[in-house]
Amino acid sequence: MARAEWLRSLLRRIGIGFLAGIVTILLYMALPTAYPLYMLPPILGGGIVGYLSRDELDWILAAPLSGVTPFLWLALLYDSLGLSVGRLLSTGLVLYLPLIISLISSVAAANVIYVSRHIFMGGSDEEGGPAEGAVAEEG
Amino acid sequence: MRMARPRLVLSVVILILIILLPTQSPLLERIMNPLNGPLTSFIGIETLDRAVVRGLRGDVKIVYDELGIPWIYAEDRLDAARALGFIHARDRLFQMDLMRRLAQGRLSELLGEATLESDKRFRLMGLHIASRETWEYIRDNPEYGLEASVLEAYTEGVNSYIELALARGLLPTEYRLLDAEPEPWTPVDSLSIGKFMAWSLSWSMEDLYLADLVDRYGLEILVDLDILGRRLNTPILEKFDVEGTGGEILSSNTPSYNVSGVVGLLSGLDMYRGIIGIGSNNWVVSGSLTVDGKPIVANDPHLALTAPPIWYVVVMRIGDEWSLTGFTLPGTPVILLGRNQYVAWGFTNVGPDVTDYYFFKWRGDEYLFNAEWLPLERRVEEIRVREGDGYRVVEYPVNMTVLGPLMEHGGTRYAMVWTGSGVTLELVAVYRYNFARSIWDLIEAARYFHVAPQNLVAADVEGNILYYPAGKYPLRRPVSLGMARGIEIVNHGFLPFNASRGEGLWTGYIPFEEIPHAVNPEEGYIATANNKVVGSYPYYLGWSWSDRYRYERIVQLIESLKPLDIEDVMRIQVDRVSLAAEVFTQLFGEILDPEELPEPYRSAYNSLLEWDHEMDPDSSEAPIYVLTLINLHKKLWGDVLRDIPINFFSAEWTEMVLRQYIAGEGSGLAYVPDPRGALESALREAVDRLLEQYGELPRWGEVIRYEIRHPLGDVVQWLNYRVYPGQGGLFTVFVSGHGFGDPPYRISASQSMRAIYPLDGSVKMYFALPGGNSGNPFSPHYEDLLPGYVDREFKALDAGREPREVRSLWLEPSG
Repeated sequence: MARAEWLRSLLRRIGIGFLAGIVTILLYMALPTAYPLYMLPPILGGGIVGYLSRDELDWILAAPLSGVTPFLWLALLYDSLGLSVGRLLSTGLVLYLPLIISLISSVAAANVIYVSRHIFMGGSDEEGGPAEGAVAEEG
Repeated sequence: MRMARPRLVLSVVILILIILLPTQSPLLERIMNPLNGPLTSFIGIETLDRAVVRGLRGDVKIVYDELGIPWIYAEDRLDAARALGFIHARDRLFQMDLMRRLAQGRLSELLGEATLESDKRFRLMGLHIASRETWEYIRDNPEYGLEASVLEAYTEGVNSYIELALARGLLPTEYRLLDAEPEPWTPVDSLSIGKFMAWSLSWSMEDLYLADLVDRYGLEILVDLDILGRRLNTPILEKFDVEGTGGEILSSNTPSYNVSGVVGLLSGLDMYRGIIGIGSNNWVVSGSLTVDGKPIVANDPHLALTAPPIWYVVVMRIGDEWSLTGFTLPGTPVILLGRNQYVAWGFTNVGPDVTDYYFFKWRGDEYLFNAEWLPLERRVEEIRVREGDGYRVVEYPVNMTVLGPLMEHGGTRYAMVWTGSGVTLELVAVYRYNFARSIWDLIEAARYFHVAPQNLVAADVEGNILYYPAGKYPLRRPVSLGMARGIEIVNHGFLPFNASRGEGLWTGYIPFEEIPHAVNPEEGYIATANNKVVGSYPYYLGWSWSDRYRYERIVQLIESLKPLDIEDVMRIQVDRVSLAAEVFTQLFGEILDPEELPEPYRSAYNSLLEWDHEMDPDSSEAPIYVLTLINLHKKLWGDVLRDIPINFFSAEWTEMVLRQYIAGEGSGLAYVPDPRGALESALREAVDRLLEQYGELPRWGEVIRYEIRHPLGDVVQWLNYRVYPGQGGLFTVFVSGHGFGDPPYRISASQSMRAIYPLDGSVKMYFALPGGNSGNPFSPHYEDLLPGYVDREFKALDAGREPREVRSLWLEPSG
């Protein structure tokens, strides 16, 4: 039982991460290319993760996924179009800098929302997790 | 609560820093844009399947095959030109833009201060003016109506893509990295690229270098070192009998040329010559020497290796009438090298003397020209230099004489004249080659080929073969400079002239019919490798021919392999045996006895003497040979040449003095240190250097490498191609040009493509390209052909059949 529960919980966390990642992709496609608007998608994606997280492990696992998903999507798109994924992966700063920025932005944003909910909606002082009540309310 | 608040603050600070980070650098701002940044434009470029092209008269289908080669299906020639313009821009827009800007002296508009000096030199050369004049001449002359229309149609194609790319974010990534946009294309831009190639292949400073030598050693050096005779070189044709004379000979004393200032001014341009030209091979064999009785044409131009390559391969099917395939120069509307169903043709650079320098008597800013005082004319060039978000305008004055631009520097003033400085029609010639039906059509079209003169070899389906080094060869008023070693030295153009006395003024060009050529020669083949054009001939063509080694190796292989089939021709084209190495190691052996050397030099030297002269990547002898020869050449000629580039004298000069040393006499020996001592120290230093650098004697593939770079590759390294071990050498048929410094060597120039065309009724081409057809770094065709090129393989392309359709693009008329 415990194992099944653990697996279900893992899948839920992955699901949250990808869900937020897809939101990030959609935002990227919808927003203009100009700075600073393109900084918003990973922040909003991370924010979604933070909001949906029930415990610390939730957002720690899901937030990086939301940051990485747009790049997995890009690699799949390249591959499906016959473009060179190998070169995509060897492009140094051009790929890795946005990836790192997206990753850090998602994680930081998830943490901000998660901790804010903890502070402003109540919860355990020591663990830093959200209030049990809040999680329960979300169902 | 104690733990949570600091975490919140820290996270908010991180987010703020991340948001502020791009403001620190425009480059960061562009790169950090994750999905709308440089990465995604490629997707749109590659998946583009339909586009509107201005001026198009009917639909054009373009099929990209499995090699990324576009097959253009157009109903007429002008639509084919529009389609070519469109796909050139789709696949190579940045390369085209860079080339036009380089030629026109406008790089600084894109790249800022770093390229200002280059822009000044090219404004001085005036290629932009010559290109504009050429366009106006072609446009206004009904004889060239078709070619003018083709240039305009091609321009419409390029501009249609530029407009589409600007509207849909499909610009090449380089523009995003530079935060720039391309300007619209014009016919002058296409002609500028052609002019640049012509300039790179024919403009020279050799008259100035030779003047420096004459200043220091007198006219005798010309005789002593056989500079003008080049008797070691082997001509393509033994002789060509015509009635031509050199004209009336004026008399003069040998002046003091004092060229160092002008040499300093112009020497920076030498690096741009390397962008295009170092040499080439081509040959044609008639059916009498082939297995199937049909002619075969082979061609491999030796140019700089760049990412993307200089050439773009294309197939054109125009109506039911024409099937063409070959190599285009992005930015120009013709197949420069290639074939149709009737003829195939190839070029090598002739390398004649088509640049002259003139000095004057001065009175303030007036100069005495042909006994008449004339004022200088001043043109002010405005060069825009990119600075921040705008431009700074630099005014650059160019003084013009009646002959050409005045080169002024360090107290010396010379006017320069080059055959490409005015209107030239090589684009007309090549466009007519594209649609020739026989070698006779090619000869007729070759009349328009002006600059840079090219050794045209060709064949047609009727079985005829042709050699014609078409081009403009100036005739000057010659001047006798006096006697040297009992020989009268008549300056026909190899040294600067005194224009105040009217010396050396151009009186015309060698008549087309009197240019040495051959149709269906008895030998059954013609080969050229930038060697001397002709042995016995009344006109002066030049003297700076490439060494004979490549040429003689090609001839040796043709003779030994005949009758030839396609595989034999391929084998010749990728041959790595160095005839120069065979010549030099034999001479070394006669000069220096291995027993006189201690270890490890003795073993290294013995291996060199027993070597099979194949410069393959596994050869451990090739590094010893190359370094020894470079060291020896520098030791022999360094003091003579001083500031003149060491390759001004080629290996044949070193061979000449080694032969003279062995024979015990020769006029060259007075100029060089003891050849035996020089050889021994050259060998020792070579072995020491290799052991010091590699720990043991390395293989050639460790010493020389293909490191093919993108123009922005020093900054954005992922634009460069993968690195491969090198092969071949300076004098092998599969050539590898490299520097003369310390190893490792980067192959700076080599076969910019390989092509073999059988005239067997098909429209086949066997080819190799050092890179890929696409300039899009994420395209599967960015460097897909490079491994096969390095492995000495060939791809087959038959323009007479249907391609395997991997991707298609429909071009539609507007409205």
